[in-house]
Amino acid sequence: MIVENEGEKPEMSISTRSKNILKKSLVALSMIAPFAIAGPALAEPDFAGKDITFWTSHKGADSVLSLQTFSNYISKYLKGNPKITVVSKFGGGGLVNANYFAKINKPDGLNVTMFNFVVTMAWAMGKDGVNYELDQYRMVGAEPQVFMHMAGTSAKVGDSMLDIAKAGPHTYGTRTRNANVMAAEMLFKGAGNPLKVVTGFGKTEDVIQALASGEVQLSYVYGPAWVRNEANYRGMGLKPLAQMGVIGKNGEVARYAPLANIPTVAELYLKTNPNGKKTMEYLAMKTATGLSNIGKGYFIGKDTPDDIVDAWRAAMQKAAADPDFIKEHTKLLGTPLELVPGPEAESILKDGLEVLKDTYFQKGNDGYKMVFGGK
Amino acid sequence: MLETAIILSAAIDGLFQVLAWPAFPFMFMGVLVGMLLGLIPGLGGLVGFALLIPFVVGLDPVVGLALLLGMAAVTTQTDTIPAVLIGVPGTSAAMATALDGYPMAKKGEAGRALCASYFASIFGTIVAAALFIILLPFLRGLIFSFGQPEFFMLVMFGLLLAGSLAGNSLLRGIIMAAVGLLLAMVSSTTSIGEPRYAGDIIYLWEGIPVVPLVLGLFAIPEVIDLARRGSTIAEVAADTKVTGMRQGLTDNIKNWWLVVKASLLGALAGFIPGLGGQVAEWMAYGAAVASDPDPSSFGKGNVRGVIAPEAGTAAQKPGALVPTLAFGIPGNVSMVILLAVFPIMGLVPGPSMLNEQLSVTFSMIWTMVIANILAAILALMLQKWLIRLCFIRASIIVPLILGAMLIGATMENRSFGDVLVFFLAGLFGYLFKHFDWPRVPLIMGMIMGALAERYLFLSINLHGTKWLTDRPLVWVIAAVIFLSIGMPAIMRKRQGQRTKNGSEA
Repeated sequence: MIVENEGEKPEMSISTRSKNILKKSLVALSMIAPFAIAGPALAEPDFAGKDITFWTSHKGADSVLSLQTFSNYISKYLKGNPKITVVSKFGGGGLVNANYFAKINKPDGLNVTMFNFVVTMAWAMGKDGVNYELDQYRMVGAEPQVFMHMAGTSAKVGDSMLDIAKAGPHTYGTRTRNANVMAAEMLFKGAGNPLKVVTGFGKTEDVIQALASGEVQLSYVYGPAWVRNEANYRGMGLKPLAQMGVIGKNGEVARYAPLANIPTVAELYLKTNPNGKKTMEYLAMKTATGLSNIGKGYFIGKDTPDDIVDAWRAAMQKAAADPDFIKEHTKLLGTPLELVPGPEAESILKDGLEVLKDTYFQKGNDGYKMVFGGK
Repeated sequence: MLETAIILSAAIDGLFQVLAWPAFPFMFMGVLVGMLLGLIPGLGGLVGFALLIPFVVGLDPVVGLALLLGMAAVTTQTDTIPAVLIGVPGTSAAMATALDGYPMAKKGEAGRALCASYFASIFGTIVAAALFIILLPFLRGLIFSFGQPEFFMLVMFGLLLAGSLAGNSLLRGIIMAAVGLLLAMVSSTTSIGEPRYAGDIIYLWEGIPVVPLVLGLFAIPEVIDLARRGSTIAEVAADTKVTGMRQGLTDNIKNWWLVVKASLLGALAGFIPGLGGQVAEWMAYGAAVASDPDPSSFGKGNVRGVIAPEAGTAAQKPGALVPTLAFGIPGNVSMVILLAVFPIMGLVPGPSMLNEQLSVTFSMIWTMVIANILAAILALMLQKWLIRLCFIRASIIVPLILGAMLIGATMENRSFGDVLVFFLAGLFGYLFKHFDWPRVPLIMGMIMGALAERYLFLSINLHGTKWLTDRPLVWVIAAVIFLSIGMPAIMRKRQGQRTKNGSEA
């Protein structure tokens, strides 16, 4: 019952008072809520005015161009739109870049690097010259690196790499020893012929020249590079032989879609060795293929806070999905960029490194010698 | 037929790329910069690269190259202006031109000399471009006949030639080349990635960086000398009226065979790695003197003494592109910088530049031809103003140039180490210049040292010792080395012996 008193506000009933309190609470909540919801957004790292360096061990035209184009779009999705410059530190199959990154990296998100799968395997297997701590870095993304073996003008003619392996000894030219070379050696060993491996070539173009001149018979090239330059390469007398493949959904080595007509080394190996799947050699090849599926791994510095890692991962995914980027990248390089998101890449890396912990793959043992040579 | 069609198609593609937007305006900008640099004695292509490298980062390769090569192609157009008017060559490639150009100016024939030089430059570039097109099918075949042993011999040829021709003393040249080879050892061995002679200094893990070293070694001494000259290049203002332009063109037409001969010699000097504009100009000048009915008229105002070196120097530039692009072996010191810039633009020298990237190669050749034509037209139209620029005060130019060079030197690595290398190299470069120790062999040794090591390593791994005995091309290159370097040295020694015996008798 409301009693009106002169000069005083009328007394409210309990229900009305409750309604008022509720109304005021709702108003207060509606003022606070945006801040509560936006809380994580406020914590997003701001790179405004910062210069970021994206280190790579690649010096090839396509690789650097691809990464620089990608970086321009990553910048678009990092708060503050920092300038990202790609810098190449070539040499040692990627070890120069990796060791350099180990010295300069800081937990500030201003230095990101690309490690190829040689660098990954070198760390896992305890190779000489490794001065970086792969397990301390976080992965923000990766791209697959599928390689393809090819024959030069002086390779003995055959329908496939297996036929060439059966035909007699050959020379394999490469920059450094790695799992691709290991796979080729496995095939030749299975066919009963030696494969002489010659390392020390400077860059892919040097190897292509040596293949075309007949100085070496076999080598490998990046799969998409073959797809893009096939007419020119065939014009020089080069032939595709076998690809390293990708790990399919069934966990086995499968053909990379753009090279669907080219058999994998694993398929050819199993032709000479039907029980080969049980061998450590096959496991090594499969592990290497798995790691090459994140063959261009993008890593951020040691102890980098989660918010910076997440910001980078998100920016990379958005950049890779940006229609303008897809169009530009395809125009420049013939194919869109295939990004493996950071968490997935980290998981693949963890699985691969777990396999390589086996003593078989450690320095001085057979698995190590298969990949990196030595007696 | 197919080969011709491929070459023609790439040539047309390359031409359209250069004439398209935005390559053409960038080339025009490069031409303007090159013309200004050629005018000021002591500056030149290297300073130009330092000024322009920051601008090419992120540009499309054809556009970036149009800017850089547009500049580099024309420094030897306007370097004739101070050479003719005041007897001071704008770059070292105009020294021979000054010998006859300056006497012509004193006789009131400055316009004739300048015009003759502009057109000689145009014709020289065109002849070199035509030679490149004619030789291209052979080059494309040749590049695949070369293996690691042949590349090694080619590198040694370039190195020894640079050592023997670069200065007044063969011994000093070879010593400097050896120093360059030693400096090349500081790096990471490419096969295993272990640093070598670099210790924990990660800045040196990729070797001593080329761009700040070259700029310091070559450009700083010139800038210091420019500053030391004082307020203006000459105390006496030049008479800005020049006449006799048409005569200069007629001279080129009348001496067309000399133009062709000088251009071919210049292009050949460009093809051979390690040589440079100076060798080209003197070879061409020598050919003019040798073929003239009155050799004693040279040095006193003979227009053929202007035409020949200008045609030779201009032809040397497209020629130098050939070993640079095809083999990654720099044709001259400017090509060393260009090779360092290639990765920034996403280009890789090698067979791809004569195959799938042939149109880019042609765009470079076209850039040089068109830039020379543009520069000649601009020089003719703006003669009066260009002459005034010769007398710009050094106190204005030097700080600007030094600052721009520092930026260019640090662009690649963005490291303080580059600043140190730049200034240290500048100090040594100044000492080398003034104590007459040639710098070109040092740089060539550094660049070619890494190449030589790799090619030798691969030659032995691939062929054992048979690379020395079983490969005919190796013997051919060895013979060329002996004939071009060994023979002249032997003959000089015999000549000296005969003179000594004669005087004793």
